[in-house]
Amino acid sequence: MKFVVLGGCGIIGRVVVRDLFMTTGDEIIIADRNKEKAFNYARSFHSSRIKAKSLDITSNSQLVSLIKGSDVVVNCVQYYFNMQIMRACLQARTNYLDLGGLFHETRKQLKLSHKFKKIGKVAVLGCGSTPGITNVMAAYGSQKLKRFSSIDITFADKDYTKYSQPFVLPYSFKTLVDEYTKSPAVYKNGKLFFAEPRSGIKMYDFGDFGKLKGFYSLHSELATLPASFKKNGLKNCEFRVTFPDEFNKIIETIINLGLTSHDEVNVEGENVKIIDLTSKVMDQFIPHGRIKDEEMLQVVFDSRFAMRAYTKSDGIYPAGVIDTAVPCSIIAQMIVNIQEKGVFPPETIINPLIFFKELKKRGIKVFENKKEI
Amino acid sequence: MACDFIIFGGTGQQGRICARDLLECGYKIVLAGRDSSAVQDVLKSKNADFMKVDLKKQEDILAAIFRSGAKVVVNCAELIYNVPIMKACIVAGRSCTDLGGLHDITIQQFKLDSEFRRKGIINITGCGSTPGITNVMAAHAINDFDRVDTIDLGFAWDSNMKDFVVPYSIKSIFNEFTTPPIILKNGKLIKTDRRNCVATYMFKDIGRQTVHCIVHSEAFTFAKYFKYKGIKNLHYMAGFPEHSLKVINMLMDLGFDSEEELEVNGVKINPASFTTQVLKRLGSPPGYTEVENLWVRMRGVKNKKPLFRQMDCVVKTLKGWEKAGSNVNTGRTISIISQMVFNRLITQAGVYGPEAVVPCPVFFQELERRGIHIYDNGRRINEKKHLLVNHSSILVDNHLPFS
Repeated sequence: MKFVVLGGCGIIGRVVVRDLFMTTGDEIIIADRNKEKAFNYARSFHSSRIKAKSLDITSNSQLVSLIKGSDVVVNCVQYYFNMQIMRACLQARTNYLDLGGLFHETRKQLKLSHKFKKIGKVAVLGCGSTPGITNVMAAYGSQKLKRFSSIDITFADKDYTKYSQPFVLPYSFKTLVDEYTKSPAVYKNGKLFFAEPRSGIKMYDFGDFGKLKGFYSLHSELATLPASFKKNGLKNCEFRVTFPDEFNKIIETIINLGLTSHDEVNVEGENVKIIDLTSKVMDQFIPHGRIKDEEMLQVVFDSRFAMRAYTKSDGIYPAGVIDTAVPCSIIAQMIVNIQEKGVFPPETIINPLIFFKELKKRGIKVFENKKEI
Repeated sequence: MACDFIIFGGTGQQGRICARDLLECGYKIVLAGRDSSAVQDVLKSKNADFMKVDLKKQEDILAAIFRSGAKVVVNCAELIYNVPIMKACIVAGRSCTDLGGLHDITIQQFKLDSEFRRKGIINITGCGSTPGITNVMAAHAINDFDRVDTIDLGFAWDSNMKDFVVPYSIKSIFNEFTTPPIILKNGKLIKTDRRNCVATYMFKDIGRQTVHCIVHSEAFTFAKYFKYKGIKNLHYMAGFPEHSLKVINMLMDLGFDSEEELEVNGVKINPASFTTQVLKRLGSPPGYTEVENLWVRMRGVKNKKPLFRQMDCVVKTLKGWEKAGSNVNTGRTISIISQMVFNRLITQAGVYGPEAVVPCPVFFQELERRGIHIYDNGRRINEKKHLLVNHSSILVDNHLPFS
């Protein structure tokens, strides 16, 4: 088998590569725009199974020739490139998976299903933590309950690290800003609509994880779960992000100051897109040192049946990186054995029990109510 | 075109305020800046022209002064350009005014004193609200003292809404907050820690506010000019309302004040300059008003008895100048002092702070004409009936006696 990991030395990509290396005996190509970083990372494995390739993701011809002959393309770059990469996979006739398309991209991606079917390949969309683990937990719950009318999805993080920096950013600032500013999709009474950004405030009591305020956020789960579980009677589906109040205040202030605009400004003769420079400033707060934290993903059915997944940092990577990268590696390995062809969300195509078993091997524990599966 | 004034930094907030004030007084002006899009409204006047200038190029500054034919150079640009603009003025033989150079740049500016004297021209540094009005208020009050021991001065402000509006040049604020404050202690200028140099006072029309020491130019110029009165201690202190202070501190904690360039899509960008440009787009919400209190507290001796004197200048958002908030007292003050130079109301040659050369009564009268009030120990002194000298206005239609 041959895997190509696009963005293979990015925050998530490098952990996907590590997991694929440790759990398979297959060939892995690290493709990244940063040639030096990619080669250095590949060399660090001291194995001929891992190779690095420099890649300009915006060049279709470069992309197609790079992925040709591979079995699975694992897309770990920004979701803006999802459609372009999927089209390249159709040309190169390879299987595909990604970390999600923040609702709108996911909807477009699903429309390529007949084309993947035609070439006899599989694409699975949203294979990280959320979307990803959450979708498969929803699948497990649906098999258990059969009938239910609502699904409430959220996640929380508990960080034990003592930081010397004034602020900590859990992941890419651009992704975070999208979560705060894009109109969130909400499924209510069987109808999908777009709510005001940061509306739908709800207090969650996560026990050890504390009491946190959540608000609606645009997520891919809403693009697939309502259709996947319509037959089970699903009428309401909501996704909320939760952050501490102080963190919310800072991000909201940055947004209100206009520092996340997509306009260009002229700075001493040079034009720069505002969000690009702000992201550069903010991404410096994504911690690179050792982080001690724990993340919990939660899917609650009809306020009575709860699925939760717990991940701890491993001393090198934070929990949020591990629980995003690990499922991606697991599904990449499962994908070639999927019989049905086309484009799928994880809840319709991934066997929950096999998937949870693989998660457990990597330290991610899944609970049905309070019982570990 | 032959104009009366060329305004460097003419497209910035203070430059635009100054330009409007000069135009309303009937003068011809040239706005010098990088981009004319922000001054289209000013350029509608037949007396205003625009000249594209890159202040990083010394030859551009000099060429602009010559081409404009301006008699007086008004510098409303960032303080890093004070010395280059002064050097161009020496070559061109033109007097100039500026908004101050905090501590270090002010010292560099005073080193050019002999060259200004030799050329018979003047540079007045610190001609805004503070330095500027505060300096003239101190000069006005100091005459009553036989000896002055301590002067504390600064500003405090607040707004009717708790939305963040850029109070003045965000780059200057970053500078003031990150550079260790310099105070005068027992006659010596020393650096201190901003966190430990704090006081809480009641301010006119604002109420109680906590003020912190920041670096400013007054410590240096007051020590120089008021040495003859025996000044020993001075603290320059800034007061911001909590809602504004929180945002400024947050921007600084996150590194939006950094001068270290970051590379974005192959282009190197200075984060502090970037922040300045982005925040310029912010504006203020409808109905937003500000009030600013510039204050000087002096303690000393008169007739062997302790004497305390407090000068205040209060400015509120003025009708017709709503967008400028309380910044009117900076842009319009440099306009007043520049007109005094133009009209030879100030004729000395050399480099000076306003406290050394600006005639107090005329200056206070001009502030009053602009709705800016001065108080001496709580009593308003620049109402027309209180003015000490019934001086002619320095408006252009009346300026002939001094030109």
